[in-house]
Amino acid sequence: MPLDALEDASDAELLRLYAEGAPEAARLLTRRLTPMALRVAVRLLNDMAEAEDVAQDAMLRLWKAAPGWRADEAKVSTWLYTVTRNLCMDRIRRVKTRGGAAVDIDAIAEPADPGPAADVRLTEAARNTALADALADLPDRQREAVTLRHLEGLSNPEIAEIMDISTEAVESLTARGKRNLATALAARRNDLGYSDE
Amino acid sequence: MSNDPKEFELDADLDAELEALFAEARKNAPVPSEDFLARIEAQSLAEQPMQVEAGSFTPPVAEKRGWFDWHLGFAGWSSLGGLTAALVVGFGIGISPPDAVTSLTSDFLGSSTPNLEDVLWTFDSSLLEG
Repeated sequence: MPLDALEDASDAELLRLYAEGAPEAARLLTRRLTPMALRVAVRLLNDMAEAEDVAQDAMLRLWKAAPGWRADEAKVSTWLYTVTRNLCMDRIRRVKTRGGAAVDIDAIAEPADPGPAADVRLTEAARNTALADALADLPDRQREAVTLRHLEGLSNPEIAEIMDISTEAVESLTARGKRNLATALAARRNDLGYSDE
Repeated sequence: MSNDPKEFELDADLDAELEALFAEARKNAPVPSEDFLARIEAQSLAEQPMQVEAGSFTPPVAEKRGWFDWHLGFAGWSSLGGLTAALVVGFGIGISPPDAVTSLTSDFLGSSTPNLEDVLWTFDSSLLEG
């Protein structure tokens, strides 16, 4: 079947075709879903190498789940978010149990001291780094909720399903997460290009 | 600690600044390298339960079957034995018809070897005339 004929197919349809042996479906699913898994993993772990391991593991689980997939029971993207999130949390817990930090917070640069260079506006990339650093410092569940809501654009009910909590709990976590982010970023307000006026 | 989200609401300016940061982060989201995607793709193909040749995946269609296949599928090999026997008997009667058949033909058609016009009695030959 030509590749472009499949491009409009849903994730569930592609997964069915994958299970039936269509290599085109394998390619399309890889290109469609891997970026999503990697993006979430990078934001939760703040480490590209670790995130690649998690994304690869999550995708492997998807391939293995394909033959028995029941489209009426789960949305493929929600399932993949859930698996990726759980794998990230496992890593964070493992590292914490070993006495280290899931993300080596000590290795993350401290916010720059306000000084002569403080009025130099950071580039967009630097602002992204500041946000990633501030996200990494959030409590785990707040980081998950804020990432899924504001960076992945998921709805509160979807996040509730992924995190296995109530919608109200999601609202509370995202609100607290945003408040903590604002506090963390306040010290770098000038660096981020925002004036106090 | 209260769980009421309103308690943690940011003022409008701070909220707008944070939203702007989120928007930039969405725009600059980390993307997988081509190497990484190739690795995942190889893994997906290796894990595929059964594989058909690339480009050849089409929905299954019914195979074209000839009369012989159709007959076999419908009635099986045993029906062909009966059909063959009927053909042989019919051929024999045609070559050397028994008396009963000859008299029957004569009674109906007035001749033991009917001509075409007798058989096609419903055909009006005047239609062929100019």
